Amino acid sequence: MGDKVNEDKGMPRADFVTGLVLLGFSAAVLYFSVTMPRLEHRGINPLSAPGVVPGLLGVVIGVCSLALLIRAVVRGGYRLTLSGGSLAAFVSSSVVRRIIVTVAICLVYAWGLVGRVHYTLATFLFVLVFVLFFELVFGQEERRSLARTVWTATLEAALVAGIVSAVFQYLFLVALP
Amino acid sequence: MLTQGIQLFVQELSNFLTLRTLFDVLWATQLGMIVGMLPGLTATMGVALMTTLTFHLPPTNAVLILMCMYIGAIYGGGRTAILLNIPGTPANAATAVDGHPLARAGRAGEAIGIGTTGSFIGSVIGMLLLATFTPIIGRFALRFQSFEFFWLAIFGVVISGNLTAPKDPLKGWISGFLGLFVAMIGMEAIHAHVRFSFGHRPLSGGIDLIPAMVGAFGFSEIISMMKHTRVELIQTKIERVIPRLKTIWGFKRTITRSGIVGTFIGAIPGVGEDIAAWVNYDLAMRSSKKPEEFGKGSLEGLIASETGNNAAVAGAMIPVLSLAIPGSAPAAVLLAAMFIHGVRPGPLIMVENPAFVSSVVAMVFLGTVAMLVLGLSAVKQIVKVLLVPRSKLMPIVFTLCVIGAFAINSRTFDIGVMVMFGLLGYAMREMDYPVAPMVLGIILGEILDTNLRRALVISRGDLTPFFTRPISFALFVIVLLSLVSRTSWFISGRKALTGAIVGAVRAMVGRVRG
Repeated sequence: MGDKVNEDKGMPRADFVTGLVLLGFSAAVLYFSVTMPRLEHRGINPLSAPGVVPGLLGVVIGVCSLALLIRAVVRGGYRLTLSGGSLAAFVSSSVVRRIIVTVAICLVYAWGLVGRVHYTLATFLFVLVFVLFFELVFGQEERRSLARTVWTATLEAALVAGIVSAVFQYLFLVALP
Repeated sequence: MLTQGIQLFVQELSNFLTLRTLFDVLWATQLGMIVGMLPGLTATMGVALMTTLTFHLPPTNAVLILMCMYIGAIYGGGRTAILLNIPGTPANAATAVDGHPLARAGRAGEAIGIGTTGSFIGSVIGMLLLATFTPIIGRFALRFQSFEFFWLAIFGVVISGNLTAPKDPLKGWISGFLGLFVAMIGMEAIHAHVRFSFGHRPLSGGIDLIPAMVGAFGFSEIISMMKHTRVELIQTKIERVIPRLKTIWGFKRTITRSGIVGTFIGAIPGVGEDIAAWVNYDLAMRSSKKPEEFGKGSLEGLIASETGNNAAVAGAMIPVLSLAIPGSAPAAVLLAAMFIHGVRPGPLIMVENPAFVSSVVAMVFLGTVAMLVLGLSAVKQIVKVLLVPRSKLMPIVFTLCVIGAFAINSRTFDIGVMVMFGLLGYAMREMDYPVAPMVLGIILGEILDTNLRRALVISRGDLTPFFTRPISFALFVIVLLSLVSRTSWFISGRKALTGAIVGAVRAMVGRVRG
């Protein structure tokens, strides 16, 4: 744990923040485990109370995150610098933009559309938007004519939505969301 | 006993020899190979998605398809590693080191052939060890009580954390204990009390392993695939694929060692094919006569890695069947799938359902043969799959993640679980936390929970049996060693102690001679 050899390696600042978050998490786990009903009225052995194991896990996670935190502090991870400029640079980097777009499209589909809109339509829209966004906006693939890109994307979206819906509904007998 | 085992194996194998089953074997292995080849589709994800697609089938057919998928995927990833220098699955990272230089030198066909043969032999060695050791470990585990199962659960999480996060085991342990905590959510098994659901009805049923894994290995992989820009496939001629027997014979020592070591690494809880490949690669380099070729296109390095990772597939099934503890992440899905289908692996399986073990051995055999046949044929055609751009492939994968998470219980809640674990998995990966220990923790959580409390009730709160029962004590010592062996003071202390012992022995020898 006290790996002094790799002092300059690792990610002390990220570890500092996650250490704090995990410490808070373990404290919450411990609190809820201690206050969990011990079911005395059912006359059960207190050693088999439901809160015993989660409580112990809370302690163990707490010890581990404390070790993480101390190590991060020793390596200087507490010097957090968060300026508007660095934040703007972070958001505007193309990698981060691609991550945000991927997550956003997926979340809208999984949480927003599925279950509210008809499944086949939701899937069609999702695949279409995903493909078009990455092929047209980010221009990840080689440039082809706009019409052809849109046409193949629509075809793919229709095929995926149709086949997946049909296979799950009629072959696997799953009631679609 | 041996003849009885072979009899059972032959019987189970002949049960599988129907047209329908052989067809299942072929398509599942081929699909596994394609899944393995495509970067961003890992074996774990393939097996997890396939579980959702096969749960309407009869149990043996479903498990057979999953097993073939698993074998095919671990093998198929080697193809991409050789041609693209991108491991198709993490298990093939070591393959890329020597496979890709070979492809660049115009020897892609040879590399694929050698890799296929290595995977085949590794899988066969793993299968033999699986057949031998599962009954032995199973019988031994019949002596386990709650105290032993408690230590086994802790050992699984600790050793998995150690080996999947070699640079920073602390993060591996945190990941494992978080997984154990995830298993605490929902109704517990002793008093049916609902924990940590905060009045949320679906949460009181607990977090299902399959949606969590589809998220942690599927969705998070999609995010990390989409963040990179496009990769180029090197256009290389693929000539002779079938390797010469003489070449293979020349590597007999490396192959045997890699097969055995790979199987045992696969059998360690939560430590999978990727580690098996790297360890074997390292061992091969150290014992090689031509270590300078490693990294520049050494056939020996390639065969060590490919033999090791496929041997680990069979190895990972040993603890699944004998202890109900997965040896790797895809094996965790297989274990969950067995539970879904009403097969209960574990120490009692040799008593209740001994034919099932032989049945799994027969499945590994069929998958291995299919892998060899498919691997050496249609090489040029299959490689074309890699030309599909990611922007077209990944939305399909996510669609399958969503419907797959939903299909098992028909709950939209599980889609939410999948998404949450995907985001969590991605964040963990970015911060160097391995995901495998967490998945192992989710499976081991219930074992830990019920056995620790049962043990405490049996011993009336006395902790000494945890340390005084012989098997318990041995497991405790192993856990302790795996924990402290990674601390710097232990490493320096060990060096000092070894030095002192060597000095003392030398002095003694000197005195005896004198």
